[in-house]
Parts: sequence; structure tokens; C-alpha cells
Amino acid sequence: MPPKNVAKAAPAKVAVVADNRTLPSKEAALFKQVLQQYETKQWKKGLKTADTILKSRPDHGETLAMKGLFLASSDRKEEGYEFVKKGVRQDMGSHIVWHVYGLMHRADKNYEEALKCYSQANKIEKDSLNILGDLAILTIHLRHYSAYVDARMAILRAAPRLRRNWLGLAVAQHLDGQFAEADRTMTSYEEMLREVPDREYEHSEVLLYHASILEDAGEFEKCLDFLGDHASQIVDRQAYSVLRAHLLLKLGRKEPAEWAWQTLLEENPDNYNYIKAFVQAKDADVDSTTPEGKAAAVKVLDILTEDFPRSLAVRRLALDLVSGDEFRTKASKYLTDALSKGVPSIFADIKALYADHAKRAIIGELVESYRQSLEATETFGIPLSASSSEETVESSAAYLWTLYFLAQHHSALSAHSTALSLVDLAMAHTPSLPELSMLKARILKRAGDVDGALQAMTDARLLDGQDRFLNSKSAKYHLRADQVDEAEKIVGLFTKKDAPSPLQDLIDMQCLWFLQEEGQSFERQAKYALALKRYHQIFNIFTDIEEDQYDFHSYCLRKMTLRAYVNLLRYADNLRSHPRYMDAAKGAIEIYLQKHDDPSSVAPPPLTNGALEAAEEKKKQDKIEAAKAKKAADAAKEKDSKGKKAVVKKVDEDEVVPVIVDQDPNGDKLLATETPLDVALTFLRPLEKAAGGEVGTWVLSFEVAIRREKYLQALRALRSAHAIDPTSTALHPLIVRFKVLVSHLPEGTLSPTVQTTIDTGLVELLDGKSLDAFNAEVLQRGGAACVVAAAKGTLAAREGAQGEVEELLFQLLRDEANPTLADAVDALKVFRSIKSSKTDEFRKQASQRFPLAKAFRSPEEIAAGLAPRPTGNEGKEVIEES
Amino acid sequence: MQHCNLNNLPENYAMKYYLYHGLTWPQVSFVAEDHKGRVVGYILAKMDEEASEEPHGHVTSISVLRNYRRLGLANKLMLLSQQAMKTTFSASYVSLHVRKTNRAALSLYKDTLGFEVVEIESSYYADGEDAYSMKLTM
Repeated sequence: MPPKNVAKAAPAKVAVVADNRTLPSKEAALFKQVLQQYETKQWKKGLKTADTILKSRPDHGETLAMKGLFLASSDRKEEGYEFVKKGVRQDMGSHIVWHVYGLMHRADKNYEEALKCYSQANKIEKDSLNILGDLAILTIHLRHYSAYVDARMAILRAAPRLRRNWLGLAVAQHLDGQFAEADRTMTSYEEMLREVPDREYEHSEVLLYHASILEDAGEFEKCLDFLGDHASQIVDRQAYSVLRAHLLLKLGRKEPAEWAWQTLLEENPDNYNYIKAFVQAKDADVDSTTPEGKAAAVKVLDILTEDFPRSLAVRRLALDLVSGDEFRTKASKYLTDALSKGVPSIFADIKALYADHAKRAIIGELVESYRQSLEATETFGIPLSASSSEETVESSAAYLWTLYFLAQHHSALSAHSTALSLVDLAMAHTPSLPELSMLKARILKRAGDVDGALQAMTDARLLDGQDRFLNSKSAKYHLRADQVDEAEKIVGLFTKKDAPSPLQDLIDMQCLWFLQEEGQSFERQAKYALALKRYHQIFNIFTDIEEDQYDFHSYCLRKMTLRAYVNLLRYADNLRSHPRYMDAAKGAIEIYLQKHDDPSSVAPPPLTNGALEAAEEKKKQDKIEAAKAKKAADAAKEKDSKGKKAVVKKVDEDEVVPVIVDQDPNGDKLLATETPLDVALTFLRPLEKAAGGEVGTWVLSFEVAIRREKYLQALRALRSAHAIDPTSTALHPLIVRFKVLVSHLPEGTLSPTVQTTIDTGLVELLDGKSLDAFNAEVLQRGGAACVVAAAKGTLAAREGAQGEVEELLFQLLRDEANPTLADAVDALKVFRSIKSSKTDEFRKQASQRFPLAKAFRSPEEIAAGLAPRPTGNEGKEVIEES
Repeated sequence: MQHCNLNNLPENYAMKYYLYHGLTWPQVSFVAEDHKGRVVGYILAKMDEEASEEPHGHVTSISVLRNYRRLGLANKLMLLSQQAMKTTFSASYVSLHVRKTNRAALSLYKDTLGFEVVEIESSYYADGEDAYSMKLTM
């Protein structure tokens, strides 16, 4: 019998290639065309070619994916995604399908998803520069620093001759904190370069960037040497000098540092950073809190004043540090110089000193004496020198600006009627100066007379219709008086004429202040949907700005402006610490919380018959508009494809711009959300990240957390706020409420560990006290804000404490408590929230103390349009005996 | 800067345009701040994008809030910017456009800073107003 044939070992198959990936030659050629058609943006042709392939190979994953891409680019996005997903399912091992999927997500700004797809593609095809490039940008955009390093490393290996790939790696290492490696990469790069022309901008930027890495790494000595070695090649002399001066100071080389900062001051003696650094180089400290420290700093500042007599910054800094007679002398010179010149901002400048009541009193005295002297003799009453009694005669403008200052001074002390009579005096002197009406408006605003303020600001605006500043202020005051339509009309005087509406132009130009003020106005008017709409628009603007950085990841590498690039990343990271974001987030979150607590309280008021019909009519109109817009969009598409045939250029043949119609122009859909807390979170989380140093952030965080029943998060919020400011009056009632809340939770809601954590946390926050003692303590601290906090705390701590709370709040209106308008308004809110029978009584008493305030006038008074009449002795003025 | 610009002038820009300036020629733009760090005045400037024999700078926008005038801020901002253009980019001149009717700005550029009118560009601004094109040789 012949021996059985030994079975031939089948050649080991390495990877099982998907049956449907390889194409026969005809289809393969077509596929090449498909890729080309994508590169040249010929969507329609590409679609056809793809369909041809699919006729014979309907399961070819890569073609399916490309078809999806073409569809998405032709405004058929949903279909597009379906085909791409089909393609991925058919051929998961293909880098092309993942690349396409990544492109789709990236175009829709789903960066996290895009990154996942690109990572997949990269795993399969490790050396594709195409994929790596996009992958790298995504990693840095999402701040995955070590992944960025890996990507840049791979790119560099694949293409080491391209200069910017070295820089890309260095940047990645720098951002990932690998300072030594970044330094080495930069050094290799610099050694690689042969002839660099002297004073070349890009190279100079590269060198300065390298220096900044050394500085961040704490290698001050090395950095200094580096700067020295490359001095002749660095063209940004200012950056060079500043960095050098910093380093000298950090290294304790006092004399060279002093010299370096002096040179910088010669270029710009108004830069506070330069001044502070110079003082430091002289072994003193402008931020010192001891009398000796302050005196030492002042000595240095006096030297600087001699060297740079025209610098206001130096002299102003000195005012922070001196006191008593020296203060009087220096302040007098500073003030009279400004008043003589007619500087409108002098009060705004000086006001920061008013926290020191002694200084405030001195300034008040000084300016009052100038006024009297000017009235009598047209001089400030200050002899030119000790020997003679000769004085400079001032122009009449000096008198005007002195009155202007005094009015602001009294307004700051809440002596509103005095302030107003001073403004009237100034107006009699110089009737048509917009500044005076503006000031009157501001005084009335601070006194709470919203309508009177508007009137005055309108007067100001009409005095100079060409000035957008006056226009903007005027619009703001309209919004404060809840006249939204008027406000929009007025800003419309300066917005683009070809914009769909003034509001739309402001949205396009990212005008945050207007959107915020409108949102707040809508809130006051209980038009919550519209308010939400504005807050969301602000949210979107911040998203857009954050998005702006995307293109700069590659742009800056090309231009080599790397220091600016790194600053951009830090700016983007901190973006939402901007006060406008905080305001919008607060507004939105509060509405969503209210919606959660009591949906009926935010629902639009039921429409009367007439209004109902009008609403129905509007709905009809909106539908017609929407249909029209869609028709126009389709027609435009038609037109494009027809019109473009005549064009010779083949590129951009089928590009279509979809017309975006706002599906929710009035925010009704926003307000109708079934998950208000989830939406609130989307506003809150970025706030916690970027504005974690604000008590207000954690107040919001707490309110959201307790409603989500996330008690540990609530505790964390309270702790964070406490760490920032343990005496915060906003925090106080929250602690009380939390304690009460937690003690009323049913058994077993919290696991034992959580319970312990919370209990311990609360003991710390309450400082070991009982609720009553805790409330008593804050009351003891004195001051109006503390009274309100104690009242809120008492309310939360005990059932049936209503009477006690009312008592407390009435105390607020006594002189000793010294309430501000805001405190009193806050107190009134508390009365209203407990539906107290004494609400009107409180309102009346508050109205006596704040006669100009609209917030305390009865609806009848407001309706009757009675102008508030200042009595001249509203409360006691807040000036203390000096 | 964007906020200051929106309050003062009708020619406004999206944030990305400000970023473009700051990330291409960071040396030539400056801001003036109050004690709380809020921008009360600014100069937004750039170098001419077309490569040429004579590099020159251009002022895209400059303004100071109304209630911070009379402090010489516009002058200071302009001088700092010019200095940087000269030192970092070897600019030989700076150019800018100004509304024909803006007397205050014209006086600043002509009288205080020494700019000269080169020509009138009709309907330069979006609202149809003419502009003076001005130049300062450094």
C-alpha cells in the first residue's frame, strides 16, 4: 500500500483579509477615482462612481463609507452616517472606513467620537501621515497631552525633515510637562538648522519659545545663558528684555534686575508689572501689609516719580501705601492735577481707596475744599510754594470736574440727594455735557430709580447721537427698565444695516453684554423661555470661541508663533471664568432649578382670548416662514447646481450651503425640557472647572446637587465654597439647609460610609455648633448681609420661626445695620417667599429708607407714574466720623 | 478687547479675527486696563500680509472707552505699537483708515502722532462713509 500522503501543511494565513475588501481591477480603478473625486470635492460625481462599484460589490465597506461621506457633504447627513456605519460594519479592519467615520464626526465637531475613530484608523495604519496629522490635532484639542506626544513622535519619525514636526514634538512634550525632553528636542532642532538669516522673525519666535520652556522648567540660570547666547537673533526686543528682567529677579541678582526693569520702565512707565518688579529689585514690596514694608515701597516709588514724572501709575500706587498727612499731600497733588486737566475717570480711579474709611474722609474733605475755593477765587486754594501765597488760576472746567467728582463721591456714600443736587449744579454750569446726564443716570440707578435713570441716560444719548458708547449705555438702561423692544431699536442705530435684525447682528458679533442684560430683563418679566434662549445663545458663543482654537493648532506651528500658541491653549482652558459666562450660567441654572421645583411657576401665563388668537396666528405665520425658508434653501440648491454648470472651474462644483432655520426662536422648546437638571449640569460643569475660585459657582453646584440627590457632591460644593471664604453670607443658609435636609432623609437613603462623611463634614462646616448657635453667630458679626443670612438660616432651621425671621428682617432697616439697597431687596424677597402678612409693611418701611427705589414702590404708585421725590434725609448718610 | 470695541465703534469683529492678530503678530497689539484688569482701551494691529520689500504695519482698530479719555491712552497705545512694529518687524511705515468725519481721531493721528493723509477711499466703511487712508513713516 502506498504510504498515505503526508498532508501538505497549508501555508499559514497571516491575517484574514475581509473577503469584500479587495476589488477586481476595474472596480479598483473606480475606487481610486472615488478617492480623487473626494479630494476635489466632486460630491455628485463621486456618488455616481461609488454607486457603480456598489452595483457589483454591494458589500464593499470602503465604498459604502465613501458614499456616506459624499452624502453628508451634500447635505444628506443622516443618510450619510448610515452608509458610513454600514461600511464600518462590513469592514472593521479597514483604516479607510475608520478615517471616513472620523472625518464625519470631526466635521460635526464631535471631537471625542472623532478621536476614537482616528485612533482605530491609526492602530491599523500606523504610519499614515494623513491620519496622524488629524489625530494629533484632535488629541491636543481634547487636551490628551501624552497621546499628543505619541502622535507627534510618530509624525516626526515618519517625516523628520520637515522643520515643524520637530517643533510639534517639542510643544507636545512641553504641554505634557516633559520639560527636559522638550528642551532636548528644541536643541536638536536648532542644531539641525544650517544658515538662518539674522533677525528672522520665525526663528526669533522659536528661540523665545525655547527660552519659555526653560523658564517653565525652573531652569532660570540656563534660560538666562540661552538668552545671552542668542541675543543677536531675537527680534522681539521687548519680550527678550522682559524675560531677562524676570529671570534676574528670580535669581536674586538685584542690581542687574533693577537696571533691566529701569530700562523697561523708560519705554512704558505706566505698566504696573514693571513697577512692581522694579520695587522688588530694590528689596521692597508694593503689596506689603506692614507699616515698615509700605514705607520702604513708598521710598522706591518716590524715586520713580522723580525719574518718570508723567507716569500716573507710579503715583497712584503710592496712594495705596501711604496714610495720614503724607496721603493728604500726595492725594491732593494727584487730584488737583486730574481735576485741572479735566480727567473724567479720576473718581473711578480713586474709588478703590474708599475701602479705607480714613482715606475716604480725607478725599471728601479735600475735594470739598477745592470746590469752595474754586467758587470763591477760581483756584484750588493751594499755594504754589511755601514762601508765596500765589496760586494758579484754574479754568472754569476745573470747577465743573470738581463738582462731577463730588457728586460721584456722595453717590458712593449713598447720599443720593446730595449727589443729585451737585449734578444739577454742574449741569447749570455746563448744560450740554453728556457726562453729566450719564452721571445723573448712574446716581439714580444706584438709588434704585430705574425709570428716572433711563430718562437721564436718554438725555445723554441725545446730546451726541454719533457716539456708540452713549448708545450702548442707553440701551442697557432701557433693558434695566425692561423695555426690550426700545432697547433693540436703539442698538439698531449702530448695527449693520444688512443684518436680518439688530439682535441678530449683535449675536453674530458675539455681543455678550446685550444678550445677558436682555436675558435678565426677560427673567424679571417672568418670560422664562426667552431668558433661557438668551442664556443659551451666550453659552453657544463661548462654545464657538473655544472652537476657534481648532485651526490654530496647525496654523501656529506653521507660523512658529509658539509662545502665543501656548497662551492660546491656557486662555481656552480658562475661557469660562469670564464673568459673562458665569452670569449666563447662573441665570440659566436658576431657571432650570425653578422649573424642576415647580414647573407651573415658569410656564408662560395663560393667554386671554385675544392673545390666544394672536398666538395661533403667529404660529401659523412661523410655519409659513419656515416653509418659505426651506423652499428658498431648496431653490438655492437647485440654482447652485444649475448655475455652476456654466462655471469653468470644476472645483467646488457641488458645494451646498444649507440654510439654517432656528427651530426654537423663542426658547419655548428649551423651557419645555423634561430634564431641566441635566441641562443645568451642562452649564454647571464648565463653570466648576474654570471658575472654581468663586463662591457663586459652588452655591449653584450645591443647589443642583441636592435636587439630583447627590449628597456627597453637595457636601463637596459646600466645602469648596468654605475653603474660598468661610465667612461668606451666601454660604451660611446653605449649610443650615443641608443639615436639615440630611437629617430628614429616610433611614437607609445614605450608605453608612456616606452618612459618616456627611456628618463629619457638617460638623466642620458648622464649626461644631448647633444650628441655633450657628445662626446666632453670624448675626453677631453684624452688618446687613449677615442679618439676612441669619434670617434665611433661621427659616431653614426651624418650623414656625416665621415671626422671628420677620423680626430680624425689620431690624435690617435700622441705622445700625446700614443696609444697602441690595440687602433690602434681598430681605423683601424673603418676605415674599414665606408669603408673610407683613410684606407690605416691610416694603413701606424700606421705601421710606430708599425713597428713590422702584423696588419698594407699590404697584399703584408705579402705575400712577408718580416720580419719586427725594426727601433729602433718606436714612442717615453712610459717612462715619473720621 | 472685543467688548471695548463693541461699545465704541460700529466696525466689529468675531473673536477669531482678534485671535488671528494675536497669534500671528502678538507683539504689536496692546491694551490699557483699569485697576480691576478690565480693558478700557486697546490697539489692534498687524503687519501687512503681503510680503514686500518694505514691510509695513497696519492699525486694524483703536479705541478708548469714553469715560477713560483725556489720559493720553490712545497716544500711548499707538506709540507702543509703532515701536514694536519697528523693532520686531523692521516696519518702515504704519498705515490706517479713519472716517472722514471723525474729527477727534483725525486730530490724534495728524496732530499728535504725525500721520499724513495719502488718499481718500470712497465708501470704505460698511455704511458708505469715506475714509482717509493715512500713513506714518517711521
